[in-house]
Amino acid sequence: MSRKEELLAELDRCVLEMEDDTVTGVAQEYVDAGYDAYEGITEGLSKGMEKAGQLYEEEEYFVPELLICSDAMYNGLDVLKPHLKASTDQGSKCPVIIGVVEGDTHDIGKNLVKIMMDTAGFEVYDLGRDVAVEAFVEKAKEVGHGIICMSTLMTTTMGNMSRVIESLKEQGLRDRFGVMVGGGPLSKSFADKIGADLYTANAAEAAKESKNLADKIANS
Amino acid sequence: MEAFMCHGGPDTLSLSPSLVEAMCLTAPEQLHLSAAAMAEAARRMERSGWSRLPFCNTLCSEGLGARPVLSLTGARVKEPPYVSPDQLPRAFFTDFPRMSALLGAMDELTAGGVSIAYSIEGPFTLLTSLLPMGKVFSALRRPSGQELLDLAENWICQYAGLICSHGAKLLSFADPVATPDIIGDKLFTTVYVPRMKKILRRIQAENPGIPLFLCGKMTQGLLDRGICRTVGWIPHTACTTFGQALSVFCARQKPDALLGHFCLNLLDARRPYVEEIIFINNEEKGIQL
Repeated sequence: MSRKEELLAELDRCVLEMEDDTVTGVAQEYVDAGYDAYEGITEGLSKGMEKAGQLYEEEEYFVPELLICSDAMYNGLDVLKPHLKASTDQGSKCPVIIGVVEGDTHDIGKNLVKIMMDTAGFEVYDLGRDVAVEAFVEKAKEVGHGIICMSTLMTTTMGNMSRVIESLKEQGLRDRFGVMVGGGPLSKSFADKIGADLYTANAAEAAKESKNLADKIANS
Repeated sequence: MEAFMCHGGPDTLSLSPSLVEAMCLTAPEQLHLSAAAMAEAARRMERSGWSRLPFCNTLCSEGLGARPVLSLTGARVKEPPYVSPDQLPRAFFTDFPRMSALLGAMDELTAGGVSIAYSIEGPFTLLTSLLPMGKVFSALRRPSGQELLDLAENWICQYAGLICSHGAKLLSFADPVATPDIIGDKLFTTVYVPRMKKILRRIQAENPGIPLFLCGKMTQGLLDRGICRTVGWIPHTACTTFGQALSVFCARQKPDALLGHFCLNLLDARRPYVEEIIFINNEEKGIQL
């Protein structure tokens, strides 16, 4: 195994085994050796995060493990990103605007979906929690096209999802965005009722299904 | 024994739109910064002999530096105020306007003979309202994690003591972030439960005569893992609701009582009995709780 392969394997391991401090040293050694930063992300950090996601699906890992793995991934990204070559063809990333709707601060699910989408290669704009309808729409205007992903755990705030969709229609933006929703009290029938394009029941499914949604948007 | 099913209601007590209208409340401050309004709302929301407080789960975190957004139906912390555990304050600050209003409301209700059931949150929910969740769990994997839990324990016990000194008849303890389906069995049983038991034991020792009520979802998590068992208690006095049975039980002043396996959102439920929680390890060792 070459040194490069060893370091890629180590980046993968650091993420998977939640070595959120060690990963920065490994990433630094990797870029100092002149290896390609993009490959460090795709073949090292992302691979570890994909495995962590798999363990989460298999209920070997839970929310704490997945969050610490993602911290490790982001720590590694902080080192590798400044070294990405401008000419590297990273493909066209579909933008995703994600947030917990206004009135709700439960963001565990949203954070998991964000991590999975980051890992899947989307360009994620995280608006946080308790996000106003206007903030989703403003970001949509700025980004121009992509996916809007909303979550809530409370029945009292579900209505804000349909308000975002209505506002997108009013602003003439609806056709340029796929809208996906998720969260404890939601269902596919609710998603259909408010005119969302996609409902998923968990984070892993959200990342997988959003790829199909992104393809649909790209081909429309 | 029937398993408890949480029906996923709101984590906190909140005012209904009709109550907001009936009380002519038009701005959040009219509720959150007024002892009289808070007491009035609690009185109007009385169920089966109990008034519940507070109308949010952000008071403790506000006393630790969080800046909640107020609304007429509650309050919420939009983003955690700290990014790293070393930024956390050592002491819980109690002298701020919302806390003064709350304590004033409790004094008023207590003087009027109203029984107050007060809800407090456990260490994981409190810590994750102050720090990004990943930072909390990352710290818990390190030796410094115990120091973090020590801090949270001190804050919670100080908060509970303050509330009990202003007339709470019952303390309800919940920790929605700390369920096994979120944190996994290992963290739940090896880190969370020992600390929770320590906190509960300390609250009881520092506030004798105030029963504790453990959230039904938490109780079920403990039961499913064989950590505790429950013993039903049926009052001799005629009761028709859960809240009435709770009142009769609390009147017994059993100092070390830990109740649970149901929900304080269901005080009017036709369930005229309560269930005591007995931790199995402690029972085997002959120690109460």
